[in-house]
Amino acid sequence: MKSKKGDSDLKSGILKFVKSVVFLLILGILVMKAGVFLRPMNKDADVLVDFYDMEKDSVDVALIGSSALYRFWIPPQAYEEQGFTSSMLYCAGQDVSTVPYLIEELMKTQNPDVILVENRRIVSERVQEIEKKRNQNRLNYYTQVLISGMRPSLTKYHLTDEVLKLDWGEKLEYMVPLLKYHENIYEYSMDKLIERDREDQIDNMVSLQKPTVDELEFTLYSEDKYTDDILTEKDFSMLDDIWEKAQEYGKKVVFLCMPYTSSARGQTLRAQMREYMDEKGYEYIDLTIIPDEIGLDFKTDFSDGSHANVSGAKKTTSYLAQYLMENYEIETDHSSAVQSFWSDFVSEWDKKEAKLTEQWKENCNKIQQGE
Amino acid sequence: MSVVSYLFLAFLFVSVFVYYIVPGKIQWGVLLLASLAFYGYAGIPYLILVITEALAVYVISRAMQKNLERQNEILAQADRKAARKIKNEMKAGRKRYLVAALVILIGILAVFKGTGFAVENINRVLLHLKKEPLTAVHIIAPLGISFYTFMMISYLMDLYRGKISAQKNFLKYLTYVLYFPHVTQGPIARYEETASQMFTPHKFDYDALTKGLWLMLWGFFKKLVIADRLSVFVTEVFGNSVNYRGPIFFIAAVLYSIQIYCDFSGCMDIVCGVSECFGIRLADNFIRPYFSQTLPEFWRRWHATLGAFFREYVFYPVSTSEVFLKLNTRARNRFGNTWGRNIASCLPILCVWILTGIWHGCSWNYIGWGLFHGCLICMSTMFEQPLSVLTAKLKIRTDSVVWMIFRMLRTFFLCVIGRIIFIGNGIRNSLWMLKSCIVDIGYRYHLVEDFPLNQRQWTVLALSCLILFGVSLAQELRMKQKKEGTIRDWLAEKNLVFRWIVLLTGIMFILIFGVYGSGIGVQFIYEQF
Repeated sequence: MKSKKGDSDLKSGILKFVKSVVFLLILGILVMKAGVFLRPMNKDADVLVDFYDMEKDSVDVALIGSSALYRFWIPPQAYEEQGFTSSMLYCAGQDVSTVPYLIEELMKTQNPDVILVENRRIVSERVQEIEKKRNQNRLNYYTQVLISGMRPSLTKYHLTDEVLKLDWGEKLEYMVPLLKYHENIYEYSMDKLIERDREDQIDNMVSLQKPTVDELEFTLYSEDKYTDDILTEKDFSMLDDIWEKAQEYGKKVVFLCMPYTSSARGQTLRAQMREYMDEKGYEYIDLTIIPDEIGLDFKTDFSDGSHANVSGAKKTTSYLAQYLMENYEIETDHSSAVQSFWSDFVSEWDKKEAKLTEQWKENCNKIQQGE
Repeated sequence: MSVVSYLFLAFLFVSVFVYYIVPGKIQWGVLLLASLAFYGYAGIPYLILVITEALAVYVISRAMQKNLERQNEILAQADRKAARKIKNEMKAGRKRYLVAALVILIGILAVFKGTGFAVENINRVLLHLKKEPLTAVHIIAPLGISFYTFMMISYLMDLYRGKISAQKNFLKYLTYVLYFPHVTQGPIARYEETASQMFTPHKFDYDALTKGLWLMLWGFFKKLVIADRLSVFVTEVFGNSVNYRGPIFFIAAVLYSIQIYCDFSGCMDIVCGVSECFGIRLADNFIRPYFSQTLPEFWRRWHATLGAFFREYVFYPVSTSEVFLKLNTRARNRFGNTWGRNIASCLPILCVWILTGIWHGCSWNYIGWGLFHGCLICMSTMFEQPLSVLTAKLKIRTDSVVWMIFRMLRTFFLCVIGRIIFIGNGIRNSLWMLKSCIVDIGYRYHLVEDFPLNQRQWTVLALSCLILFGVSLAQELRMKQKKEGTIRDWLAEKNLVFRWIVLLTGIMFILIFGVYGSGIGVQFIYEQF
């Protein structure tokens, strides 16, 4: 009798345990889905969500960077011209110290032939600090938005701990986005939230270019115009961390800097960076010193001093895509599903590009007419 | 450590886990360690103060117990004639111990809660006399000082009356005082009800644990979804009352009545749910008070343990004291039996209510609020008979639903008036707001455009209040129909799918619509007492 009762109690206990686990699993799924649904209404919050939707191992070239990357690079154009697929992990004002974590996240689902890391922010952050304009809160905000779409993982945990340096309660909120973003249910209309959820990656990825034009002057300074400012050990160590992280996966990282109208101070620091890269044997594509070779016209190809417009992006993409294809071994065999996706991507981009180019031409005409 | 924080949930998980893996005999030790950690988190100096007070009460209670045991020893050998004298002498000795302990406890409470108020009022007099005022004093009271002081007082009073025996083990006594679910906001636990549960071994009971968690969930719903959301509006109106006029104060007071109910009863549900996770049931402190039909009934249902404390340890001793018995006799001789009895019964009621007001805080608006309720209860007592006669003459069906609803609304209305007095920034501000409700009746505000809550937040609030009303009504009807068990028991009987839908919906509702998160949390209202 006792043994039968004991068996029955054991069975009952196991059943209750299993029910509890299943209940918690269902709850966990609902909580995670709701958290992603309520993430910030900011395009950068969709970056990782869209990235996770990419077919596994379908990305040939991965690019990581800030607006100094995504305003210059057009993935469907690169695919159309050179046949390789590419994906960007980006956010506005991206903190370079987050890059090793993004490489980790990238390698969970992709196996790119080349990883490009845009590193202009190292120089511009140093310049801003010198000029006392650096805003750490703003930097943290951008990083927080980017990782709002990140799946819970040790990578995410380490990012919140080591880069954002949050206390444990805030870390928990980032790991469970619903805890952080639940108030957005009151901030955004349900229509907008549902519409955002329905937008697919392609909609987001073709919306990164601008048709605006800012007439600029570019000066490439000679060494005698360089200032006394220096990059610090911390700046160089960020490059080392990125390099080492890529090495962990057996990947080579190629550092990249897109063209912009930098000051003498910025060009001084960039020269130091080139020197460091040469010493360490890091590969570095510094497009800031060869705008003519790319065919860029600072009077028509930029929307502001730091970012190219659609015309500038097309030229930069053409140049860089060809350079990558000629200098790196990039496999371009893709499954039919991947080819179909990229075919749609190219079509959508072509439609968008036509509109943007027309607007760009109008803006150029206005400037010429002195409006 | 707030009970609505992530830290508390982690703390609770660890405490419950350790509680059920240690041998039953030392489970109370786990409660003690957890309570020390919980209270110590608020500040080690305050923890030391509580332990010191508990030690003083423990020593005195042991002396009282020894006195009683000595009395019994002597009485066993004494004759009847001497017995009465011995009893009175020994009781006088115990009374001296009791008074000493009460002086210590109430003195400490008065210092922390009353010094600022006393200095403020002395300064008013000094300024009037054109003398130099004293330096303003603001002492931060230890967390839950009112609650644990009252628990210690109830322990001593019950011991004095011979209802309980003194706890021999100081650490067990400390566990009762510091028991973390009830130390900050109550309920004010009676030693005889709680101690027997605390020191009895408890086996892990899955059903009891889940029901405790369900009760906590209900508490989180009330606190996070309703109370803290309403707080935004209520704080705006009463915190900036100079910017407003008219019936908005009444509307805000109605919403404040809902807020304070959800805040306090929500906390009670959480602490009772936490306690049930350890197999310890605490007394119900809120029994759907807004369904009350009279004010006395309301005060039996609202903060029931505080009401019971004042009834048991203030009202009955005062009203049966020699002084008041003599007063009763004189009043009857002067004003006749009926009115004499009424006057004599009103004085202790007013004493209790002034003390209740002071318990909430040493401020004239709290005292005013206490007097307001005291006067209403006195009137309710005095006019009970005449009103009953009038109701009969008017042939009003007192068992009809309409009549019950009328009485509930009337009671609620009186409570709302009391809330305006309670929440004012001083008694003058309270009276000004009451006056403005009537004289500035033409003033209008738009609930969405003029206040910080948007339309969606108001919609969620309305829906949540509807859910709260529905569940409360269901529970009230169960009570009226004398059905056994609570809504939780009803839910436990339902099939798995239904239960899970209800629970998952409830949890998601709280997580999505609740006010919580880094930098957002709102303090419990009654934690300040």
